[in-house]
Amino acid sequence: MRPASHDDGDASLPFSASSAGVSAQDIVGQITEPILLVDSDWRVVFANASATRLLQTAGQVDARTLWQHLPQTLDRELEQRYRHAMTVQAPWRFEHPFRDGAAETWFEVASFPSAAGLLLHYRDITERKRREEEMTAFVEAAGVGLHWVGADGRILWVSETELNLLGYSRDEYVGSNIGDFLADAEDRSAIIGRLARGHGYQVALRCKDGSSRSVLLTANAHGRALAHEAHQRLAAIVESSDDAIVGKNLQGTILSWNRGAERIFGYTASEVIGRHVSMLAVPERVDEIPNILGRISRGERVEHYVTQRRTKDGRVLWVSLTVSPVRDSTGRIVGASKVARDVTEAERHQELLREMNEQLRRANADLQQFAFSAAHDLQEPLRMVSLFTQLLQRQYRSQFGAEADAFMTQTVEAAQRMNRLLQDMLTYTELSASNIPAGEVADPNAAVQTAKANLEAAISESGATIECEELPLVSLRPRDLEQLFQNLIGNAIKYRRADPPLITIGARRRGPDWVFSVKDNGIGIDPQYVDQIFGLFKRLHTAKEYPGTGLGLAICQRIVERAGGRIWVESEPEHGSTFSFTLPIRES
Amino acid sequence: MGLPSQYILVVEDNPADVSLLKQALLEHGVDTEMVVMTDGEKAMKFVDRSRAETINAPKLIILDLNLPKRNGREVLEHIRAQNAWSGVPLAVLSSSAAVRDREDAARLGASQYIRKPLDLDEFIAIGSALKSLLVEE
Repeated sequence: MRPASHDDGDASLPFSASSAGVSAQDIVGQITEPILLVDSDWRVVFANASATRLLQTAGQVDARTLWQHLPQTLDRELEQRYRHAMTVQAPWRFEHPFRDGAAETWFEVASFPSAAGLLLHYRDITERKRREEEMTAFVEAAGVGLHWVGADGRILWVSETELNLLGYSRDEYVGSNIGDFLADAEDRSAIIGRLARGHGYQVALRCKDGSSRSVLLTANAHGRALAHEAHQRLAAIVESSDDAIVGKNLQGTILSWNRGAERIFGYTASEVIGRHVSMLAVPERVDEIPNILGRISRGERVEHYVTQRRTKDGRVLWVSLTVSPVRDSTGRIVGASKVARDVTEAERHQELLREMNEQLRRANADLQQFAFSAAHDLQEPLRMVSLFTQLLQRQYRSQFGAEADAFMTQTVEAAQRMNRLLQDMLTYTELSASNIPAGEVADPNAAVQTAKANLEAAISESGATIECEELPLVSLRPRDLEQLFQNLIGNAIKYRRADPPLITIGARRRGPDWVFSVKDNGIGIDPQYVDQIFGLFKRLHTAKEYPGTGLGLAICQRIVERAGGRIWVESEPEHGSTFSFTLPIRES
Repeated sequence: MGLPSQYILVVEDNPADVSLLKQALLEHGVDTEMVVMTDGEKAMKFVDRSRAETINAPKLIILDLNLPKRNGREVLEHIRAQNAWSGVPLAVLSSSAAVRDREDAARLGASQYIRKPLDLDEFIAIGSALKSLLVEE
């Protein structure tokens, strides 16, 4: 309900006017829109032809009251509006829906109080209402964050998407002042000013969880403009959308068809409006349509449903459908608003991507299996080479002489190096991404102890000191954690300077992770190589200087990364290195 | 097939390992005869025969895991299902370093898991471990 103004051209007709000898009743009688006059007791004292039809009285209007004429449409709330119009002593405007069977006609009633009573002028706004409902459904279907506010900043309506975006319930939001939700308090006065001038724009709003989101604000100076501007804005969105936006009734008859629909499906609006939507279905998916309409009539929404549809020229497209119910003002579902996005190209790429991924996965698994089998099966002949060379050495030493003995020693040493390499390759391939274990918990303190026990010879030979803080439990396979510490501590001992190694192990919290560190006072690493050292078979020294397979740190990286962590090194040449790795903090 | 009254059953497809085993045992004073099965299927049939003909149980079983036809795990299960052999010590001798193999062997009733070494001295030392299994029995 809001004031109407006299200068509202088409709607205003002062009842008492008479000019050029034509009675007011004659003029009024010509007007095709219903016009009624009621006295202060609500008795109908005049109705033009159109109003007579509206009042559904066969002949002349009798002396019954308006309430008696319109028993089926008048509810308590509507009666209140009429009564208010009588008492307000000024032109007024309100909406009155008439229901005739299934059909519903919306009127905007302009009322003009006079000495005789109340003049009522009815204007049919059904089309506008229907489009508004469709637009509202579209806003919901398109997932647009949108709300309407009054000139004072009070929130009048909000889309479901915006509520979801911000995290408020409808009750928390509608009726509040938009100023209370602005993320930047300084915006407040500027925004209220703009709203008063009827401008809309983008603004950051505060979500319930404290974050902020950008939302389109639509402003309106007063009610009439609200509906009008919102309508135009939404109509522009619908028309310019690349998506097909199609309105249909519950029987599936197409009622509206935007330019996006024309572009995607190839039919013009005139070719499809009034026809059944099944004309767009591919034969094998024609059953989907009654199914979708059934869900709509139960008030459900269909979201991002990917299916196939056929164009005018017979091409089959992949489309993503979002279909929402359209309700009339009484909340009854009368149709559906469908937003269809052409995802053919995306779907084709997806399919290709899936295929290539699968090929890659298979190739990777084959390679993994090959590496594992090769490393595994090479062990046996290698062992024989080593053992029988040693047997030769042992049983025929005296016949060979010193040089042949040295050759055999080298053969055995080479076999042992190759064996270590095969062992590391087996460890590395066994850590392939395809068999990630879950749910195991490892105690790093125990892992460090085990690693120390395994490295006992190297520790006592080098005189290494290992200091270890109390470390937190992590989600990892215990032997992987042992391997990790063993490789890192082993490296810290191996790459030492002349003085005995000092190794410090600790852990600190950082965000969602524990950061473990293994710090040494060894030879350090030239900064240009710090990224390379985790690579497969990457070595910075000859086997003679520092023996190794070039797989130790690659294994460490694999263990850490498959547990969702990261590993890196910071180093100062000649002063030492700190290897750090993260592991997620366990949820208790 | 005539069987010695006392024997060690060796299930191993690699003759080189068999001869090295013989030497390792000899160096530790064990000269018990060996009965060698060169694949898993033969080994399982031998176990079945022993059940039918009441053959003497071996003094010791040495079992490789990686065998032709039927693998060492199956053979181990089959042996442990033979009640008459329940007290016979069994050493798994494998080149596998995989923790899972070690755990499986223990679970299926192996007395010991011995990794086949690359070093000759270590291989000879296996003779000592096997001898102690024999003596315990």
